[in-house]
Amino acid sequence: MHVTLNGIQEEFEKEMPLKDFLESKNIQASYLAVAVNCEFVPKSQYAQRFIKKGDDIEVVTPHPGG
Amino acid sequence: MLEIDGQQFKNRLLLGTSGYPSLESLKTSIEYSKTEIVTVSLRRSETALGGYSPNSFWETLKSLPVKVLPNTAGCHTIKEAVTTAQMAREIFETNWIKLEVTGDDYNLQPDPFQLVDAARILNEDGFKVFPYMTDDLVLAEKLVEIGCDILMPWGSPIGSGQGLLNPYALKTLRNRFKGLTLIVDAGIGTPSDAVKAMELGYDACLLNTAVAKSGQPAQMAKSFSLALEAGRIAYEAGTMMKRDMASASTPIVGIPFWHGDYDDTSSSKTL
Repeated sequence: MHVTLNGIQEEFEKEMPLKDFLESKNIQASYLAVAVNCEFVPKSQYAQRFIKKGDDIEVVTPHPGG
Repeated sequence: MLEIDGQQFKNRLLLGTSGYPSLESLKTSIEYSKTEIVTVSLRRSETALGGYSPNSFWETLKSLPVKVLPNTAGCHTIKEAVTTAQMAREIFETNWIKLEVTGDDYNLQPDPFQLVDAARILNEDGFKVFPYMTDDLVLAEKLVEIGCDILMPWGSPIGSGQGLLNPYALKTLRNRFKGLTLIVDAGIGTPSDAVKAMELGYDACLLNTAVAKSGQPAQMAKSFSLALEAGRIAYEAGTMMKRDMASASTPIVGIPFWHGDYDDTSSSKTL
């Protein structure tokens, strides 16, 4: 199975909560926000939202902007 | 005082945070200009940042007395823009959003149709929307109809430094929406452009490249801040009416050496 994380295909073994998925990728929870399939996932739902085959995950952080 | 969303600001410069030579340069520019509102974006977490990490950027901004205005730069659809706004609200803990929906990548012209639809969704979701728009009057009317009380028409395309390409359109917006907060966003190249925007009655200017890509960003940021203040004071003072004919400012009564021996309507004579 695979998912797409920030535009890059990633292999993963089984469906799991977003919280576990982020931890498995060593992604720190501070200063980030997540969207799955272009739907915003609030931090309060990281434990409930399961990552499934084919999901497109975007993890973003603050950057300079104009 | 500039009033936005019930909050008052002394400074009329909204400053972008991108493209500075260094993080220190950005910090100094903010301090020198005394800007109170800065724009930020969201990008993929692994994206390289050219010299300093995203977290050090954000840590630095958080240490400064500025309010953050997140943008949706790079979004091309309503869905992308709305989702980006929602992510920004969580990270930056603000309901302010500079709404950008790009319609054309050549000049980064905002898509007016998707902009209105995205703004409607975000307004209903409790955001304070700062729509980045063209200077089109009818577009402005549509945005106001759906609840926007801030409009941010472009001066010229983002990063072009071409200044105010259509002062007539900008002036029309000012005349038609007297009570709204109007901010010229994008295209400002020089402090004199900012002065012109203020003299048209605009409330503020949002700019980035003109400072970040100048020879000395901190100095330029300060210059813009002063220009905006000067232009605003001039607007409040009320500028004189223009006219085609000259009109002597020095009194004409009591001119020495005058013997009334010429026709003072003749264009070949001067006072």
